[in-house]
Amino acid sequence: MSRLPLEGIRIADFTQVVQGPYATMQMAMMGAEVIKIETASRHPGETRTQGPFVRNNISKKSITLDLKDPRGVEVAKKLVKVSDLVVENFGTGVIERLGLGYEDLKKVKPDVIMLCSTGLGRRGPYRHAIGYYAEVANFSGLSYLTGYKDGRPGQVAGIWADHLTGMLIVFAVLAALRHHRRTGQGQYIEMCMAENVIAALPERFLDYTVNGRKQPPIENRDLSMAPHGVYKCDGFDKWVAIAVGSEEEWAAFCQATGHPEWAEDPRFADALSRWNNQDELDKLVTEWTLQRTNYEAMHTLQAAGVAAGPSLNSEGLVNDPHLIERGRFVPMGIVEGNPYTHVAQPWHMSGAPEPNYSRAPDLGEHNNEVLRDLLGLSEAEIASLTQEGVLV
Amino acid sequence: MAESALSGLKVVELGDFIAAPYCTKLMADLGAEVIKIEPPAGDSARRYGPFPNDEPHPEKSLLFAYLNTSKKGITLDVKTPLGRKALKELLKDADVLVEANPPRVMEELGLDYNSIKGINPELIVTSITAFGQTGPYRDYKATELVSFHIGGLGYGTPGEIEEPDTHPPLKAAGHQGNFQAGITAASSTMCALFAREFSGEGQHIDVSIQEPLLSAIASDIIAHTNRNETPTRIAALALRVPGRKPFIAKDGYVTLTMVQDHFWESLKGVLGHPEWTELDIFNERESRRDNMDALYPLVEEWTQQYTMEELYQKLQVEGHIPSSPVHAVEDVVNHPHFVERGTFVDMEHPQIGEFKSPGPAYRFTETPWDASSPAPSLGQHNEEVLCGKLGYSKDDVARMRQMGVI
Repeated sequence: MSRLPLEGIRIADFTQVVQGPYATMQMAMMGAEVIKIETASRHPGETRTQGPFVRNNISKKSITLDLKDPRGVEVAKKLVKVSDLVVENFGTGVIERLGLGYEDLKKVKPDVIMLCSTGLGRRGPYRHAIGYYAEVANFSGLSYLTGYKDGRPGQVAGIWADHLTGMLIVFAVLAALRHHRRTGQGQYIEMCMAENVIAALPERFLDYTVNGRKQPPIENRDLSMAPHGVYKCDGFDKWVAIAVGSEEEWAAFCQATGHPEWAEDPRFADALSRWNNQDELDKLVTEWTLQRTNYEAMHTLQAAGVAAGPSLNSEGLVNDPHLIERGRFVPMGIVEGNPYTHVAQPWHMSGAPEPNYSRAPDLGEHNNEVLRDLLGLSEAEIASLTQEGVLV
Repeated sequence: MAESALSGLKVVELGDFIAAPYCTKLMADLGAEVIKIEPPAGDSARRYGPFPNDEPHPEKSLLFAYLNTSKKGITLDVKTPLGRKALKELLKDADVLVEANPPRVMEELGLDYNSIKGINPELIVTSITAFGQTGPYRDYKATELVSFHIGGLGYGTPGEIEEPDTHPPLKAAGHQGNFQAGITAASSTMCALFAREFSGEGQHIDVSIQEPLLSAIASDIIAHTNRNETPTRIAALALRVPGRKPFIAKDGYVTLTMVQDHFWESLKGVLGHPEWTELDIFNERESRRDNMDALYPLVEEWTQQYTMEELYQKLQVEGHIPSSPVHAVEDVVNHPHFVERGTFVDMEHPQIGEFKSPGPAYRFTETPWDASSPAPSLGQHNEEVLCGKLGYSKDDVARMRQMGVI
């Protein structure tokens, strides 16, 4: 009970931006020792803000190494040698140019486990494409399918492709580590964000590959359920999502809304009729939701056994009693002059202590600890590396 | 045969539809032995489709076939004492139970973690539910639509809008929240396996489908809790953010990034340095953000003259500018990049025949992903598992079938 699940596992973390850092942060919260290799000159002025940096890098250690300098590369290799996992998400070809590719690392650690993740992967004619979550979502079909029918393609909120992939990285490297524990064998894992997005949209791709049907955006609708939508409520820009699946739920819905006559209406008498007459049905549902707050609508319908919930913005989320009671918001002191609240690890374990919620490291905060205590460099060596600008 | 990454890992799945089956598919395709338990009526994905030629058939759901590769399938009505007994016998020898039933139902059946941990103290139980095992909404229902919106991702999807009254917040296509919950369950289960190496004990993992979604919208939450800013979807009220609205191309849409100075400089060259690019209002990163409304149509006049592929060549290959065509599903499946990568794999299924399916997101050099063993038909492995593993006789199995237990 006193030990976190991944204690004793060390990760050499060459990742940046969102997907890689989100992945290694999950493991840091689970107790792994994550050593983030940074270079101050790479993102001048962009590091350490609360948003992009801190929220994906808590509980890690930070060292600064100039990886364009061979001495920096040597230190990085020493770190790899004593690490269980290596994770990187540079653009295709970058890590190899730095002399830290899989083949290079195998020479210093034959059983190294290395995962490399990029938007479109390390193979294929477009492997050099650069981009962020939007480019990945566009290239893999998610954006086209996520928009208003009368508008341009949309973007899923929340840098979605990065989070989807970050979470899969955790599974992949831990599976490889389990194999290593059993056989002593390391390996290389190539991860492709776009393929991860595709793998999470099988119903739309399979309908095309098997039935040849082109796939339009369907907004909030479902392929079979109705009513199935997001309806306007009382209050400024307040909405409730409602999904009615079975006949039993439909009957409960009509009772709960005080409209038993809907159940008798031939336009809505069975699932197919409801689906075909959705536009009219949605108008009636909206008349009901407009009279109540999003929470009143949720509680009334849920009490009757119908799936419903508000479409929450950030203010709604942090004030939601369920999320508060489940301890989703972790206060972590002052960061850059403002109080910082971390969003908790998205699972709870009965047999482990609280996840490690320690503040994100300052740039190069652990240079001495890692280089001297872990890698065994002498004070003189560290001083000379510092003087010659390798630790920046 | 070579070891797979998860060789020897014994997993029992008591799930339904997407989240739990995707979790155990991830494990099964890396070599875990997964026994999937379905109620006698079958997993609901068998009824969801899509189906070949749109003909519903419980053995031909493409979604089910995709989500349940590499597993063994048995039917068991765990609402009957006999069904529960067989389940408990299976759990004696299992490493992991992945289940996705309402917490109250598991308690009523005596199958909640506290009731079953005595059977096998090393067992890891991973529960995936709409709202988790605790909290005031514990017993509430959700579908993907409800989860996506109450998880906070719907509100900002599909981006800033002009007419909020007629354009509700949107769900992302498909079942993103359920898939991410499945991935989260697989990752956290791996953590528990490492914990067991030291403790020798299993534990209960609580995955709420809402919470991985919440985790992905941390940027907005932090803006609110730390700076008291509430990001809005309403364009007129929005804080100034760089436009990610796609530009019209000759045959579709593209996105491109032009806020950062080096990308802007590069874009000027790609555009051929028209005079307007030298206007003061576009000079600085901040001023480009502030004048996006003026900049946007000028760039679009240019993008409209080219196809998505031509723009990819100009922007990415020549300009090194983050940019992408907005692909429809058919563009993705037939794209040379994905064709060369083998993104879509050929599957062979006894009832469906051959079909092309999304493959894995990763390639392991030593322990390859393998989904060549097709999803089980309903109750396909009843005898193999009940007789072979649990020691029931063939007569017992026949009787259990008659009783409606399997």
